[in-house]
Amino acid sequence: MTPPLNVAARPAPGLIPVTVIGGFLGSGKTTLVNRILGAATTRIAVLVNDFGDINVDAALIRSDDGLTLELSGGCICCSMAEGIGPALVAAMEKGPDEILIEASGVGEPRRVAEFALLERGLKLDMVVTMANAVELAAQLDDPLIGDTVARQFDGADLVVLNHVDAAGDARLTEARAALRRLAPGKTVAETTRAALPMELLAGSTLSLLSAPQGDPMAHDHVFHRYRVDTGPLPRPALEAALAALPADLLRLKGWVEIAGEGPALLQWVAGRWELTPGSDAQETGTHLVGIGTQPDLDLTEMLSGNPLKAGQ
Amino acid sequence: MTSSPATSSAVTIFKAARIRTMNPNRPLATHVAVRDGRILAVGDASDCAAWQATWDCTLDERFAERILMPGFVEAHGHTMEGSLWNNLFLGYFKRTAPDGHVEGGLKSIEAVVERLKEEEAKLTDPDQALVAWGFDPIYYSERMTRKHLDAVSATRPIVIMHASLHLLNVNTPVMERGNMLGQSNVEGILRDAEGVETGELQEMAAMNMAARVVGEAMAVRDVDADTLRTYGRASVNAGVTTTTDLHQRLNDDSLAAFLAVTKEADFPIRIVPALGAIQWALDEGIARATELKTQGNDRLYMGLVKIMTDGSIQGFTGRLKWPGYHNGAPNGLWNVPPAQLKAMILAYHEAGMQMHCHVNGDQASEFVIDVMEEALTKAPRPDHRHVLQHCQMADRAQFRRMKALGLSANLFANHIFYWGEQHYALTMGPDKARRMDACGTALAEGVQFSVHCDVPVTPLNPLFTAWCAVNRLTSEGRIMGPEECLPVEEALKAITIGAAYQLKLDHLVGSIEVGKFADFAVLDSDPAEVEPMKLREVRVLGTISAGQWYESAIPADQAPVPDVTIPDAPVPA
Repeated sequence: MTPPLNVAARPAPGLIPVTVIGGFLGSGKTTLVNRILGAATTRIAVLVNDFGDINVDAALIRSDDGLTLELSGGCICCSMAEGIGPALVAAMEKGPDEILIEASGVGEPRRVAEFALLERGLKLDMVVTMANAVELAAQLDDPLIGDTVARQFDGADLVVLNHVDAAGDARLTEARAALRRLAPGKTVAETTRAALPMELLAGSTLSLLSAPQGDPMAHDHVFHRYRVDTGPLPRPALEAALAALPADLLRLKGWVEIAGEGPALLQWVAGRWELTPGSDAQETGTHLVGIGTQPDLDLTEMLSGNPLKAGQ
Repeated sequence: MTSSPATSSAVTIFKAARIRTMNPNRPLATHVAVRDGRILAVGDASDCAAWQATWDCTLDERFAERILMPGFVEAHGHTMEGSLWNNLFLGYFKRTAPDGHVEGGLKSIEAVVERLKEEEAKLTDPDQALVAWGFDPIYYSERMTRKHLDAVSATRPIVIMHASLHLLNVNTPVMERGNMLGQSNVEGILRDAEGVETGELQEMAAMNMAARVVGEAMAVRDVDADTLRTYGRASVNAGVTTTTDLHQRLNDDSLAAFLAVTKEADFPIRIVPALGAIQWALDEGIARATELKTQGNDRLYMGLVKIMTDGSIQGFTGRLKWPGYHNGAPNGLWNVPPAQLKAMILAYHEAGMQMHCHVNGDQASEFVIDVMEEALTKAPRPDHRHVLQHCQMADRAQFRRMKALGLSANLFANHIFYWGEQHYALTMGPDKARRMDACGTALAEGVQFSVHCDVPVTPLNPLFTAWCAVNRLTSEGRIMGPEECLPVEEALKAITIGAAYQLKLDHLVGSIEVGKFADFAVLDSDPAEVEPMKLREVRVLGTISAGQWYESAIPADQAPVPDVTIPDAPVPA
């Protein structure tokens, strides 16, 4: 077992990572939110839709720490009214380490994600869209909702096909085929009761880097962990390599020693990345950990400037 | 009904050139006697002589040369109109402000910019934002950009809300302060072919950020007393004495505002707010609606529930059946998943509430008809009076089902003038555009119906709405679907007793008959006698509400708005 890297828990002061969880009614959004909250070691503010036929979702999540904010329905005829904007501001005032937004059952997660892109105090961490393996094919065939369900996969970083245990072979095959069509090239994680590796979703640096590396996990057949330990990297080659990393590498974090500049903290999530110069690294050199779905991804090779060779 | 003993004996008789009562038992009269704000008697000169012999009364001859009708009833409006006029109106068509002056009528982007410059010059605080509304890019060949607005001010934040409320135009200071330049991942920030931000914003995130930059001027608030008073003035100008406010949260604060203002001695309208169901969790919403039914007074009627289903046709967010939008735009949006809408409608129905369901596209209206059929089969209820609001694309088969289920329709007749051309060319295509807002079908199939303006989406003015339903003239002079034109008499019913029925107030308002409230529209000519194409030119001099006179703020010599160009020979299409 590899020891955790020594990286500060709050790498970019003030920028709160935001995870958006979308998906149609019944796809398991609330279950996933609850899993994340249950496993959290940091303060997570959560925005949930307090609305629906039975108000179970919010009741499940509701806690007494003041970090749960309810979104009531705004009218799409006047998009200004109510909704996510004011709730996000209220959440930020509570000074959380991370923010989770559960999109509404008909919401488009990529549109919700735009709030995190625009708000100066926030950064978008990951957009997750969930699908119900039992229902997906029928939903897509339903003229009332088919297009709505399909649109929710646009802009997702990670697609979670949930309830695979209950789907049966035929429906599962149909659902997989539908997702290949709706979310081409996207990472699809198949789950039961939304059981994902938590370090995959947590936006704060600590959780990924302090997670035991190489432990046997339920998802090892889907997710693979990578580690990079190398020397200084020249900035132009590094930036070119980062821009070229495959999107099925979901998360990559750690310290990079930039040749001639010094250490910088790298945070890479599904194609979005930032390098924050920092001086509190305890060691020199480049030390990164990642998680993704390609079994044989040679990140060291790719980051050193041989993108064509790696990942083939 | 409340009546003050001190005034209970005083009778006022209003004499008019003609009183068009909308009461089939006595369609025409010349005199109406009023006591305690209610109609004591309706008749002619000889009846009047008998009343004068019997009662201690005053003859009021101020309206002796005027036409009285029942005060008009707007069954789909929003009091938000009362606060929007705090900002500058930038419409393509002219529109009357609540204080009676005319704004808008800006026929080019240049004219829009000039009007903004004029307004900007009046602002003294350099940081004060300039906020405008009612701009509709659909009428202009040129697209407004932030260059236009930077020419108005390159330092003061400027935000222009579009008529659809789905988009904004902003200037560079708003983009800068809102962190919106160089945000290549945000699709809601529109760009030109070179990738430069144009200053047009759509989607909640970018629009929300612009609203944050300008702060107070665009803050979303619940209804307040000033908004209601201003809306009252706008109603007087339009001859309206009863109106809905068809989507409100109705929390304690807004309820308090409604209760306080409707008790003011000179508040000129009766108001019927609807609880916005999507703003409440289901159980809480039903509990709130139930509680609200115990509230109210002679000027405030609670109990309506509004259900939002889809978006709007001109915003391409209405939900359509096959073959969808004429220009190939993707199908529209549901406010909430249909399964939840269904649960909501069933629950409010079983709780005994009257629902007004927003349905623009034909998939949305069909969905609600399906759910209502289930609700009424499970829990039959006499006289439920559920209403399909807008109901713009329902076809004949849907109207037949509505008739069978006892559903009413409130049709958005103003759309034909304001966006008829766009529906013809872009959204619906010629064939479906011809049968939009199918008043003729509703009449033929026996569906109870009204027509509405959805103020502030289009102006509050029931006589103009009736003109739209009667003539079906687009802004370019096309008669869109002459088969659906409504006879004048039917249009007048729709804006009086028809709308009153949909609010369950037809025993109190909507016609001039004994026992009802003395709520009248005072007109300069008889809408039933003028040429149908001149219906919109009938002038409203003011209203009488509960026997009290309220004068319109619109100057007598002001030309009617909107500015309509009527061709010599309108083209049926």
